[in-house]
Amino acid sequence: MDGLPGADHSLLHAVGVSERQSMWSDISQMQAFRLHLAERGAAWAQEHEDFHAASVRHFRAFWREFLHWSQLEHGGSVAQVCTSDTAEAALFFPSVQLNYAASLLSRRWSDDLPAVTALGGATGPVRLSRGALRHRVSALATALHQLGIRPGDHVVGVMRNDAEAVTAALAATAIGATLATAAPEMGSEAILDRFAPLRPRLLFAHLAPAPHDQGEALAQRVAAIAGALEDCATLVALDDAPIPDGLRQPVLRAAALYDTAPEADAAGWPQLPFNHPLFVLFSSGTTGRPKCIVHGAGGTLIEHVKEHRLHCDLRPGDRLFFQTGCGWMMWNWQLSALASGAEIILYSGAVTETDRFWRIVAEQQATLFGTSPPYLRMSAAAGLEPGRDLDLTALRGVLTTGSVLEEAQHLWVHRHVKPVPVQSISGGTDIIGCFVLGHPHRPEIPGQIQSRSLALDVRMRSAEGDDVPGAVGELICANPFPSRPLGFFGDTGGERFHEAYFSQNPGVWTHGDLAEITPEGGIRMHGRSDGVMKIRGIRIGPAEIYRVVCRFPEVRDAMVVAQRQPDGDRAVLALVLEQGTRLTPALVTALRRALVHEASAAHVPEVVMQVDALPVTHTGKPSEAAMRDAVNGVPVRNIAALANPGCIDALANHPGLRGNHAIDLGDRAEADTESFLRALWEELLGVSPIGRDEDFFALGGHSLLAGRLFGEIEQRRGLRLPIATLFGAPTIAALAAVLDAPQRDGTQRLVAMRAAAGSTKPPLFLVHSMAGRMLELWALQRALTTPRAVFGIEARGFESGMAAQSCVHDMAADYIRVMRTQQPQGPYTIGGYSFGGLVALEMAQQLRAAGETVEQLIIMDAMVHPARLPAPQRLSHLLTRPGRDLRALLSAPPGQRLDWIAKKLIVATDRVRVKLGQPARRLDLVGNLVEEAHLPDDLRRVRGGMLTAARNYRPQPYAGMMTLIHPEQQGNQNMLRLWRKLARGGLTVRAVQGDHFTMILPAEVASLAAALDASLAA
Amino acid sequence: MRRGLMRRRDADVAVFLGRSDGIPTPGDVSRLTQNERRRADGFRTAILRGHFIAAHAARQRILSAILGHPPGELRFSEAPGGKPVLRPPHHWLRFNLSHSAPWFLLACSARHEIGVDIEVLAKQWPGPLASAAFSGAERQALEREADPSRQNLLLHTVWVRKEALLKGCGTGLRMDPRDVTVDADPSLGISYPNRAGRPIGAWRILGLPPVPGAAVALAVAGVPRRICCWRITEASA
Repeated sequence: MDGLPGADHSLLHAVGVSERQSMWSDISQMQAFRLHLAERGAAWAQEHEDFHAASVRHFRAFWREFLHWSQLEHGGSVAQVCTSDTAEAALFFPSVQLNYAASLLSRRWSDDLPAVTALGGATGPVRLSRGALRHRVSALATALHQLGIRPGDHVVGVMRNDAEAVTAALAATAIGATLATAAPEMGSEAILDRFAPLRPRLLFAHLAPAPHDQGEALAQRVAAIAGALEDCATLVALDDAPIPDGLRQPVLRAAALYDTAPEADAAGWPQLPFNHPLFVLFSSGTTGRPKCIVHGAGGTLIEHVKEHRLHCDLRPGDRLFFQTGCGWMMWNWQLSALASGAEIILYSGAVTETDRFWRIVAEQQATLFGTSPPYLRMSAAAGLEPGRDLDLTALRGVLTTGSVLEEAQHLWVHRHVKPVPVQSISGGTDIIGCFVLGHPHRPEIPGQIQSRSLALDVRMRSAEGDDVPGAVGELICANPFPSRPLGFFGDTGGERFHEAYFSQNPGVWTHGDLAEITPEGGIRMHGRSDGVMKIRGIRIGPAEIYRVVCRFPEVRDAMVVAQRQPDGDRAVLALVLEQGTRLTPALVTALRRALVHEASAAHVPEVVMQVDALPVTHTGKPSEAAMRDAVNGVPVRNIAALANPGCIDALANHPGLRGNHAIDLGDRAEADTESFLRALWEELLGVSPIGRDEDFFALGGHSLLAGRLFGEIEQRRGLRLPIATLFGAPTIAALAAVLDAPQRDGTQRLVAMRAAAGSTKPPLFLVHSMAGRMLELWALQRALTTPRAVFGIEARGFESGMAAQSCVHDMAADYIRVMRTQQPQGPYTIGGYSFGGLVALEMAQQLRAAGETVEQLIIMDAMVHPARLPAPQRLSHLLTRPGRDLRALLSAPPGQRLDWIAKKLIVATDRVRVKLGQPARRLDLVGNLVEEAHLPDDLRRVRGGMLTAARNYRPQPYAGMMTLIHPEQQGNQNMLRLWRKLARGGLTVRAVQGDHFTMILPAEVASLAAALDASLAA
Repeated sequence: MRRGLMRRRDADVAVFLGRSDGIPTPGDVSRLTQNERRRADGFRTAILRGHFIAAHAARQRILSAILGHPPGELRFSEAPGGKPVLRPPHHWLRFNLSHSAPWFLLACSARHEIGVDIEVLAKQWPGPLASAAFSGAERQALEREADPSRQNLLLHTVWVRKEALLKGCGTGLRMDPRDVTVDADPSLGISYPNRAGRPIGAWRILGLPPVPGAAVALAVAGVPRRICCWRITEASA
């Protein structure tokens, strides 16, 4: 609805409602809560157009109102909602008491309402009503109390996902014990790693073997675990399997304990502080031991109830079926659904057929199904048609979590299951909840998550700022939130806790995920931030590679990590392919091409290898950390947390990982030039076969590989060629021709960048920029479509024995000479990028003075030294000089500051020398000594020369026509004004995308190439 | 959050259905304006008074939730012809309330003028009422129907449609109800009222999802892109 600011529209939105409704829809609980707020006169809720923004800004009021509206039974005072404004220190509702189990088993709803349906056990389905469940929990809780369990004691469970596990969990938490659970598939060592530090008093366990169990029998493992837990006084068996021998502790049967006469019913269970510890969860640690994360009762409960009711619209009558086990936070998450009157469906059996879970959804008429993207991908690959073959009338929504939900899977659900909302939710064990999840009224856009969690100030922090649409950043939470964990177990000072979540961005919670806000207002997740690789100085997120690679039907799964090499990291991509598919060179080439085309050349991994399995944790999460350790040859730190540790060996010893070995060409080294080059390229690029006309860069080559290529050519054939040769000769055929052609002396500084394609017009001569060489313009060269030839002129001073030039006039004269070896007479078309623009201008001036025709002068964002700008800028530059110098001085390491001052004095002396007409002596000291310290000497000299030249060159008015191409992001109107003044013969201005530096990079260069093409065609 | 994409999905018209038990809460009463309180006191029976209060309180709640103003601060006035409207700066939000115990119905729109009516199906409607308010064509349609219970249904159908139209117009056109003809066929999802064979502005009459034991109609001036129909339940309170 159009409306004035302050008017809220979400009350009136509906998603998925057809044009003519045939039935009245119940208003969602989100709408009902908002109506409730309106009724209570809550002005804060109406302040912002966006309810989420209002809930964040007034989070205390939000939580207080929500606690009231949700009717969660509690005692004490809600006067103080939150003790602090910073997430790290804050505690919520310090004066409130409640009981987690009592809230879940609240008498608000009829006792006859179904609570739990457990499937997959040996004895058939188990259905418990709320009344029956409450009765069992009361009995078991009494029994635990009689066994001496008191509030604050630790109770652990190795449990399958069934009704007994739910009863045990509720009984333990009812009397205030803190619960930690693990799934029986986990190895005993891993389980002990988690449980032992807690020193639990009691262990719940299933003992009966299941047909799908693997490895050692469950009963034996439980016995081993019980044996190693010294403080554990009792083992409560959740089934009636035989008790294993050698158990230290007495064993009680849960079924027998259900007959205990309850001393206290739910009403009599202790009201515990809001922040009383409830659950201990474990995150599969990337650094050895798993983190033991302690979660508070009230925070967990209120966050879950908020997510369930407001975001998922969960209500009595809903049946929630979430694919999970007891070792994962989603088990605790779905357990809390009881607090909203919903029924939970549990499955503890095997997954023998792919469609097992869809069948459960149909048979139980589940209304909400929680699953994972891998299961959806598996269903799609198996060609399932649940919508056609099963009765899914009750299904009203699908939730997914665990990894990024891709558009293809989202659409598969719509087309082959049911057109219901598919909500991707993302959060973590660390917060036992979600930072981003669904929303009943926001638009559903495949590939995006709909909403941030209410009252949580979730932001995507990138270099460009917070929540910049389209910018991928770190996901942080900037305000206090109730499900922030109480801390790590055993971390009394809170240092490890601080280090884990609050050290990266001070004052806020850093989650370790990368995400972006999309222009539509949704959220897109980009994977873990600690998975980001830095390859050749470029930050590459694995998700960007997966997006491209996983679209290939041959690829079932992929994982990419960085492998350390002596000269920098390289990317290693491991693929699991579909049954019966082999990794052929053609497939590798296709993958590489797709990555170059859809991502960038930097995203092409150096190594691509096929494996049978990728490491995953027990909760099914892929573990890049494990693969990273494996390929780097170090022992895998979290191997105990992996569900398939056997795949590690195959990864670590894969033949594809052999390092930068010497290239062995065999007898092809002596063959003719083309065959020699082909052999060399195939070894370097890892692609075969390569056609004689295939482009080096399209095959995934990059400048480092080009360097190696020419190094090998020099070594084996004794020919020293500049790397820029690849411009004019990017294919095997063309390069072979260059190798076989006779040398031309003195013109090595003239680089053929582009051959003429039938045009009779004169070629374009481009002058180098501050880089000194033309290689930095390779992206521009490839994007051009002009039929005219293009040549580049490189700087002097790179070959030993040739001095760098430091005067624009001298350079212009020299370059004209070089140019004339190619084109002796005019009319000339000259251009230059950045520094090259200045030289091109001077060349044009000198040519005109000599009577030649300069048809076109194209200046691509030429730099003018600030000292040469019009008065106001020059003055500003001079006045800020001391500040800049001071900053530069301070940026030098302390021990070297005197040295820095000394060097700058030498430069000042040199400047005087140059003014007096003498050549400069120490060009290598000009420029930023600290930032450029790592550059090779000859490059420093050349750059120093250019800086000096630019400083001393005063551009004069130019009588001919000039074309100025400038980046729109620069917005430097003063430069434009200067050029307009200088262009006496007329100035054509073309604006292109990007800024001075990005305009020549692959991402933005298309715009520049189009402008240049247009200028050359004119 | 950018709303551009959402606007296409926005409902042009939202209709809220509620039900009351006739027992007002003190909160409800305090939400009424002076005029409404006076009118409430004029009701003969407590139940009718209770329903009136509940309907108007709900209207306040919903409008205030949409507009972002506490209910007590909403200001109403009457358009010429008596139709309640909001005072500036909220005058852009058009709304219309109708109640017939135990139901109440509120329609809202930012773009279109609207009118809504709900009538619980009475056992038998007095015949003379029909001749006082129905046009010749409508009476003919009724008389053609032989079955009395179906005739009753047609009568209610015509009644709510006409009422919805007249309430929507706010009688600003000073229309004589006998001059206006609406369609009697209950199964029609959309119909066009006419006056002496000519359309009445851009008005059209739309069906709403069925309400048990009642007849409902929605009149809209213009073409609504999307109508959302919500039922307010007590579960939340």
